Amino acid sequence: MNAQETGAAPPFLRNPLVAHDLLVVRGLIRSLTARALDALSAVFLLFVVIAALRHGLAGLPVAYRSIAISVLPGIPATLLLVVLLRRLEFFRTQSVVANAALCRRPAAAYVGLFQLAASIAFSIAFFAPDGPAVVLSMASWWIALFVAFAIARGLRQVLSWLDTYGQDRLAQIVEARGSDRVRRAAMLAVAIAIATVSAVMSPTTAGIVSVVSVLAWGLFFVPISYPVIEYEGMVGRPLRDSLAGRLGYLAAATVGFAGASLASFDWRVGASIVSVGVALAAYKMLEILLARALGGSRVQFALAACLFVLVSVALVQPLAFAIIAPVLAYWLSRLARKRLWLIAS
Amino acid sequence: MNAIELRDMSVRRGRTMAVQSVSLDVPQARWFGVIGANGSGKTSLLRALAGRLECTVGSCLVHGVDLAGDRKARADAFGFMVPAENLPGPLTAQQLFRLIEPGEERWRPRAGPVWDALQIERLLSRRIATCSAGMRQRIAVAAAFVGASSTIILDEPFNWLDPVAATDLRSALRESVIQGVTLITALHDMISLASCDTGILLGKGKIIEAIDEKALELGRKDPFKFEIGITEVLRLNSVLD
Repeated sequence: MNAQETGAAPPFLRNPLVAHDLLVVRGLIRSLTARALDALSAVFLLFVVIAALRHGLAGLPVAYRSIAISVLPGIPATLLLVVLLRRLEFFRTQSVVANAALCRRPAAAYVGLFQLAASIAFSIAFFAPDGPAVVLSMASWWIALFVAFAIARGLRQVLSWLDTYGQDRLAQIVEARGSDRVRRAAMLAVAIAIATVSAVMSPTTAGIVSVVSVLAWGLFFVPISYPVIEYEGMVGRPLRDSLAGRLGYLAAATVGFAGASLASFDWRVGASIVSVGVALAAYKMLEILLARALGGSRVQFALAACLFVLVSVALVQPLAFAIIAPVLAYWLSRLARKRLWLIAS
Repeated sequence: MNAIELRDMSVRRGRTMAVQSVSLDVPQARWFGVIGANGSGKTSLLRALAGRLECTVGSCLVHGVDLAGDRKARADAFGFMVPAENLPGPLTAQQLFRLIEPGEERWRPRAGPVWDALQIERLLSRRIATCSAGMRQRIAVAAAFVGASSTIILDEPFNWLDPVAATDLRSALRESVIQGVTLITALHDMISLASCDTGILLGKGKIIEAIDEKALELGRKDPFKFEIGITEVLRLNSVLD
């Protein structure tokens, strides 16, 4: 007897994998929107990313623009594929929906559906109302996806072969592929590649600064955001490792973009990255410290008040800011009892 | 007929052969216990049995059919308890169970005595992220029973449970077995092991000792002596040495 016969509601689209992750996404969005400042930051970031990238693309010469539309969708398509394949592996080994994940059709539908939703959202957000550009972007997304999928399949077979037959040195490489160090190196490589391509394709300084800063924001903000750390806590990753991992990503991205700014010989690119990185790190440290002393929503209120005072003072009287800032930091560290930022070093 | 028959089953995890040539029989409607030191291969054995890992070598007969080469069929054949820490935090227990079995009216009859022993009704509408470790463990155990299978695999089900819940669960599991459920559990405590019908002692991926009904009967009569005996064997076969 199946669900239909008993009158019970089947999982979304009859696919437990899709239903599972839609529920997870809904829960994460709820936890994000439960904190007013985080919700505002996320919405603000989203708008800034879209607006800046649209502006940067619109400013490109026609030939470069076509290349950008053809190349750019490949990056999110590949990243999303990696995430979805890792997710499927998790489902197969450690989830209640393993039965569905081990079946080819639901697994393919799971990957296909999320890719479809993401490709439509991406193409419309960045290229609408330019119809041909939207179509080209969608086509590029799916071509890149199939190429990445073919590479992933080939790579999996190679790794499986190495797992079985590899000698010590090769086996070490295979084992290292899951380590944080390798992931940070991969992030660094991606950051360098993105920034270098941006620098080459958008030769105007303003274009480089905007694109690079926005990408830096995205790479910094998303991995160190509160829901991610909370989620990692739920799945048993210690806070220390979680924070160290986030800061590792942050460092890798910073080095990558700083390298690209050096390659473009423009100090303003580097300055924008450093200022964005410092501001975000300061924000997170303040948030962590306040969370040790205060509870719940008061953290966000106190943080907003602190930032307002600091920025106002810094704008009006830099000298007063230089005196107040260390005093405030000392007071917060006393309140927090533990200097939590040390654990990330 | 045996519910499960393993013959020379081995499981490779990366470069390590986590389970090596294990052969065992689990009769229907019996409680089978697996005990061993940390890293002895208990979890790998159970995961491979439940289709969560590949069986590298050997045969795995489930109700007389060899499913060694078919992970999906093995996953369908067993109710499997996933690690409590891997349950999705943003979901409620009710949403989780719906993914396994959409028909809510079936959950309670299938879980039987386990449902009441773990007080699952109280946890249904609660988000898993807000549950304590013990509450998550209760949900993870119940989730294994909610599916259609009558053969259940539980990996250390008594972890994080308070003494009352552990005692109630032990009784409920015995009651389920009496009602016809076949149970395979990885365990760390001797009291629970003594509650089983038969079992094995695993060390370094191999069966060190088969524990028969007679030994377990003695264990129930003299738990202290039983614990000392098993502990000594485990100490000699620890992978950490």
